[in-house]
Amino acid sequence: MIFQTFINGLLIGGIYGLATIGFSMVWGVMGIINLAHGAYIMLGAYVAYVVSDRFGIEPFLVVPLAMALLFVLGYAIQAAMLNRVLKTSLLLSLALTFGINLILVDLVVMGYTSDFRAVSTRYASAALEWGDAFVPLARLGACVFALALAWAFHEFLARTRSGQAILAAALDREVSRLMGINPSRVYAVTAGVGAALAGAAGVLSSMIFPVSPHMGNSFLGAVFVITVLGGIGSLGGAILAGFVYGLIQSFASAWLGVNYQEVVAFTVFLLILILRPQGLLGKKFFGEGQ
Amino acid sequence: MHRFCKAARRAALAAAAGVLALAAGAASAQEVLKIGAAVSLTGPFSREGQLLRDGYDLWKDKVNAAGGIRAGGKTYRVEVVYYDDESKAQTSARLTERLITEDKVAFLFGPYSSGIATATASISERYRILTLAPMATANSLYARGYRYIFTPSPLADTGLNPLLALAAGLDPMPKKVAIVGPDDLFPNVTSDGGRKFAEAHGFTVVYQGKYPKTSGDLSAVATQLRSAQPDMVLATGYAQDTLLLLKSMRELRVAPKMVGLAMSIGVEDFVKALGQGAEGLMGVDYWVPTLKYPDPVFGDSPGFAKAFEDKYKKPPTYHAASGAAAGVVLQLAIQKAGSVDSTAVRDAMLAMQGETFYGPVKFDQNGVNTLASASASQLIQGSPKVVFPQAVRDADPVYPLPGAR
Repeated sequence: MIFQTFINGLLIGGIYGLATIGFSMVWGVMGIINLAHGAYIMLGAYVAYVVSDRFGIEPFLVVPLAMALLFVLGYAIQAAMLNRVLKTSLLLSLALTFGINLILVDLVVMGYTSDFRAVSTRYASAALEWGDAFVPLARLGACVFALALAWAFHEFLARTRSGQAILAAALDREVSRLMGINPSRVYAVTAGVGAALAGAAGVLSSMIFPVSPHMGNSFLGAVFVITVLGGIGSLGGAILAGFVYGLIQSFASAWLGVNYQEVVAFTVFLLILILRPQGLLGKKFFGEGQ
Repeated sequence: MHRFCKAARRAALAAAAGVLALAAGAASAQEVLKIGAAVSLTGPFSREGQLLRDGYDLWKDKVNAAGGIRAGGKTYRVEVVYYDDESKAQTSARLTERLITEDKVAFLFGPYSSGIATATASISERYRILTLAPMATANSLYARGYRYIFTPSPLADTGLNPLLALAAGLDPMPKKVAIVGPDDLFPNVTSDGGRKFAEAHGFTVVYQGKYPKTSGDLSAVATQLRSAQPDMVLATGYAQDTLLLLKSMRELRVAPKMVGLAMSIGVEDFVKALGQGAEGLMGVDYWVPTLKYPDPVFGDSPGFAKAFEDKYKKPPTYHAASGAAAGVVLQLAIQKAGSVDSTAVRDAMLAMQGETFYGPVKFDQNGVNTLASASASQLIQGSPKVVFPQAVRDADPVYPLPGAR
């Protein structure tokens, strides 16, 4: 039972981590708390639902499509709206992303109603047996895929010009401008990539959770806690904290009762804020540790 | 000249007003009876809320097509004023107040879910507006001494009884029971009522669990279910969390001999979302199309089902049936009272005993229908079949479930 609880927490933690990277990075690089991030995850899940339901395509194969669509959306929203409020106040960007979230959710309600959907796969009930514990294949696949994407994103930051530009703009907006980097464009790319990763997380979670227009909201709470837990803007921190969060929830459920999983998660959140406000792997700026 | 023009115009206006008044007089032979309904059209309860609205609407159409409600020498055309409460109790309470004070409705149809109705009932009680709440069945709501809220449906604490009564007669009897559901008013009452009924009928409750309503992941619950090794799992949740629970159970190979839900398995998309995994699942329905009670508006259950399919192009669920039945019950009480005064209709409601397609009705002082009962259905080869009670059964239950371990 303890082993099963451990596996449950670990498998869900990978998806939580991937779902958090984009949110954490946008916050770290631009100082925007993107309340529409949950809606991006939800849209990714709907891309998976629509494509796999209509064409019977394997959900894993839908990931690139969902990422491409969400990249365009995230880029466009940043370029057209968020870049304009960036220099004003935090409150304004909160209000704006809150509104964007409402619009995206309601558009999906209009298009697909608020019915619950599910993406069924052939291996939905397949599981590896390991002693007396089960490792559900869909969850294992989703977790591994999530880690692979996180690694790919790390490589993108470390090895490509765009990735380096993101890190540079995060470190010092003015100096990066002197180096020939256009911050507005870099921010739009950051938001686009963040949305793309959220979309990928959405596709992966569609195989595990019911899909509905409101699913993003329950993700957003977890994503927020994980971001602070891991350190704002930290890629490794997001992944590590995703696992920690998944495990905390899993063990809190097993030992104290499922009712307590959120109480415990938010207690840990408060403790982190008091004891280590910069998070597990947090640095002053996202780019400093790279 | 100018003055003449003005006078002529005034005369013309007066004449026009007179004609309008005459026309209005002719129309007022049929008065309008306004009923208010704040139901969930968006948010987590939107699916059930819309089904409930469909039921209210179908009754309204049917009554108006038959010439309206006749009471005390007057004929009333029914109009239902709807608002969307967004699945939020506070919003529903606010809208209920608005329905009463601004829209001046004579009666209210209740919202979906007991939690929301608890918020709206205190408002309708304050204004003494009679409310029929077919989809709010938590016992606590009817134990507060409220005088103006009535439900034609069986109360929440009996929600698992049809499944347990069915299981008690199965061979071998699934003795070890697990009851699990979200931590919310209706599910908790159903869960505790089920536990009592189970223990009184020779079952052993090996696990009784609650999870947060908004829980994103229920693999922890499935893990605990697996180590409890129940013969039968009973779930008291709503559509979304039950879907998640069943998926998690399947992933972790929790395969009891019988799986039953306190909700209907007739909700189409729910079955579709589960795919093959839905086969053999049991559910509880406040209404099934095979019930045999006569009805003054729809004729009988098949009559209701046909009217519903004609209008909405899909088979009805019990949510819709309960909504339409609430309308019929209200109509019977209005006719008996010969008035649309809330208090007079309430007195008539308490004094009457009758039948609708939904079942027999006789209310006690708390607004509870003492004759209400529910049925159990099972998904057999993809479609819901009534398996309990015996009298309305259209298939024998599949038991134990194939693949049970």
